[in-house]
This record gives sequence, structure tokens and C-alpha cells, in this order.
Amino acid sequence: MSSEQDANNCLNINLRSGRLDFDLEVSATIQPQSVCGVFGESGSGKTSLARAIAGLDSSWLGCLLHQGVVWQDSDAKAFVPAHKRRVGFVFQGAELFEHLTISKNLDFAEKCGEASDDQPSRADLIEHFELGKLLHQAPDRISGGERQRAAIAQALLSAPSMLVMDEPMASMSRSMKEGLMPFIKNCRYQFKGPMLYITHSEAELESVADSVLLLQNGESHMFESVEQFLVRT
Amino acid sequence: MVTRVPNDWYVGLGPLWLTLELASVTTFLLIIVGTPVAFWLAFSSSRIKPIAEVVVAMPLVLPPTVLGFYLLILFKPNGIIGGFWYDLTGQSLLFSFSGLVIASVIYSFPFVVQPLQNSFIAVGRSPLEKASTMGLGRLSRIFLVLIPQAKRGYLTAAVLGFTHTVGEFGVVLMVGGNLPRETRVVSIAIYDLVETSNFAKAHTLSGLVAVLVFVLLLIVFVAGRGKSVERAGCQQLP
Repeated sequence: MSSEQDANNCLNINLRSGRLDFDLEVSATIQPQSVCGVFGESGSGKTSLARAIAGLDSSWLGCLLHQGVVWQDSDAKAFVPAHKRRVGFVFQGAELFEHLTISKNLDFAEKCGEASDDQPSRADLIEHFELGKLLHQAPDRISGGERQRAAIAQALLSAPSMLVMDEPMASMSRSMKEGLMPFIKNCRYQFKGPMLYITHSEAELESVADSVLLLQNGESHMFESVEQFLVRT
Repeated sequence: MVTRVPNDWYVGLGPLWLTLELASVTTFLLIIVGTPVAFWLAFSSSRIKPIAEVVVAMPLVLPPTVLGFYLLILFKPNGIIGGFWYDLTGQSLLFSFSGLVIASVIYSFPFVVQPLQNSFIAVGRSPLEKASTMGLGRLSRIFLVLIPQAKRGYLTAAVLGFTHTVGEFGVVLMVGGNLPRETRVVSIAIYDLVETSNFAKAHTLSGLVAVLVFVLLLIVFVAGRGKSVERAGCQQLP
């Protein structure tokens, strides 16, 4: 792939918080088919940034470009709503539609997405995320780790334009995290767009991320590799 | 003789059927009108929201005669609503079934809007946000995600709206009068029967209303225990 094509498939972020009580300016380019870890302390604006990228938070200002398409341009008063951005969003709380079984949750996602050869099939996802035995369960009858596996599979199945995982393992025990980690790593083989992985754990970054976007003191710093990030001064 | 109302309707089950018809139409309209209002009250952060909430809640505590009095003024053929209705249909809204329906919708409004609002708040923004990231527009989110998840709220709202309309007395007396087949609902009929010492018939109607209300409320309370109905139903899927 030429560098020009690469640039076209990137996510270009040039955003600053529009809230008076919160100061953060983010400038970064996220490559496709790679996982960018978004790292920062609690309250550094990680989730808020992720929501701005997904179109769920319109309070941010600046410019956001995804694969050459303008998602937001404050100067031109352009703001593409969330349902037209289709950012696969894996929420902290392993959000699933509670009124549907796991199988129906997947059906729902499948109907939302447009099937394409690039997308992993439902059967593949059920296999990769080991959902076979859970298909006919209600979301509130399965464990947190199982829920999150189902939620990730659901996000991937809805044919997203990019993927955001907002601390998917935040409320899990160590053993649950260890169980889920291989599935999260697996995502990069299932998905070709840019991926953001939000976390405040360096260990998780080492496991999943290719590059790191550090949010600190109201500014952002991009590291091309996790190693660079870990040896930062 | 044909135009005279038969005596059996006068004291028979007629008023009960009329009441059920009134309560059904009212509940249907309340669910349609109440959904967007409840949605706005649940998710809006507008500064006038507390005022809207008070207006919605007022029929809960206002004496029915006060509400009935104002509706009487509005429904008169030269009143704001009554005049509009007269121009539209050529009929008076006062002392008519249609007038009773409008009055009942206002009178039972909080009994439908509040359960819906609470269930929308319980569902929360998260499932709606998730649905929007999956590509669903606003209406699809409401019909495919919010309403199915608020099923129990709808059951409660429908039963409370229905039973409260069945129990209506003061407002009906003010704007409906006591016309057989048109506005003589069961609560008025019972009052009439007692006034004329027809206790046997009063017993029949009162007993039927009490049993009906008991069964309807039982449905809500049984459905409301522990797990929600929709989840219980969900697990039984093959």
C-alpha cells in the first residue's frame, strides 16, 4: 500500500475540548489495521475523546477526518451524527441489548451492517469469541467477560468504519482480564479499520497496542510504538 | 318507542361497556401522546423541564371538579377547544363521548407519562448511544431499542391509564353529564343506582368493576416482581 493510500485510510484527529472546565487538545493520526492505545490517568479525557470521535459528544471543537471523509469541522459547522459515522464502540460496561438473547444481539448487529467480503462472518466471530454456548442466554445471565466478548463480536458484526474499545476490561478481575485478552488481541485479525484501545493500564497497552496516544496535562503525545512510550522520560 | 333507551341498558351492563370503551380509546391515545412527552422528560436537560413535570403531575392532585370546571369552560361551543371542535365536526364537545375521551386523556395523563418516563430513565442513554454507533437513526433507536426495553413500563402505564379512567367520576360529571349510551359511565351509573336505592344493580356493577381493576392491577404487580417480564421471556427462547 502506498503512503498516499495509507493517508486516505487514516483517522486524523485535530480536536480540542469545547468545555470551559476542561482543557485538552488532541492531535494525532491513527493508522488503519493497527491498534492505537489511548493512555491517560482517570479524568484525562480518554472517554470524552472517544465519544467525540464516535459522534456521541458534540461539545468538542476542531477537525476530524476519517478515511478522507469529514466527520467534524467546527469552522464549517459540520458534524456527522453518530449513526452515520458507525464507529463500532465497545463500552466499559459491556453494553448489550438486554431485551435480546446473545444470538438476537448478533442478529441485530448483522442487520445494521452491510455484509462485505472484508467483514468477518457471524460464524467466524462466534467461533473466535467462543460464543457458541452462550447464544441462547440473556445478557444478564452470563459473566462480565462473556458479555464483553459478545459485545466486541457484536460491534465487529455491525460493519463499523472503525473500532473504539473504551476500557473494556476496567471492571474485571485479574483472571477475567487474562481470559479476555486473547480475544481482544484477536480483533486486529478480524478488522481492517483503525482501532482505538482506551486504557489506564500499561500492561494492557503492552499486550494489545501498536502505537500509543498519551493524554497528559491537557495535551496529547503520539508514540509510534509501545516501547517508545514505556521508555519516555 | 325506538328512540327510547331500553330500560335494561339504563340499569344493565351498558354503562360498564361504555366505560371499557372509553378507557380503551383513552389508553390507546395516551400511549401515543405520552411516549414523546415521556421521552422528552426522561432525556431532556431543558431548563423548563421542572415546569413541564409539574403540569404533567397536576391532574394527580388537582380536585377533579377543578379540572372539570376548566374543561367545561374550554369545551363549551364558544370555548377554545369546543369552538374548534364544533367548526370541525359540527357537534358539541360538551356532554359527548369525544369530550369524555379528551377529558380522560388529560385526567389520566400523569398515570401514563410517569411510568413511561421512569422506565425510559431506567433504560438510560447507553443502549440508545450504542444503537446510534451501530447506524440506527433516531426513530429506529426509539422503536427497536427503547420501547422494547421499556416494555414493562408500557404495561404499567397502560394498566394505570386504563384503570384510572375507569375510576373517573368528578370530571365526567362536570363535562359528560349523564347521558345513556353517550356519557353515562359506570361510576356515574352506580351513583345513580344508589341514589334511587337500586342496591342490587349497584352491587352487580360495583362488584364487576372491583374484580376488573383487581385483575388488571394484579397483572402489573406480578409482572413487576423481581426480574422483568421481557427478560423472563427472553430465556425461554429456543
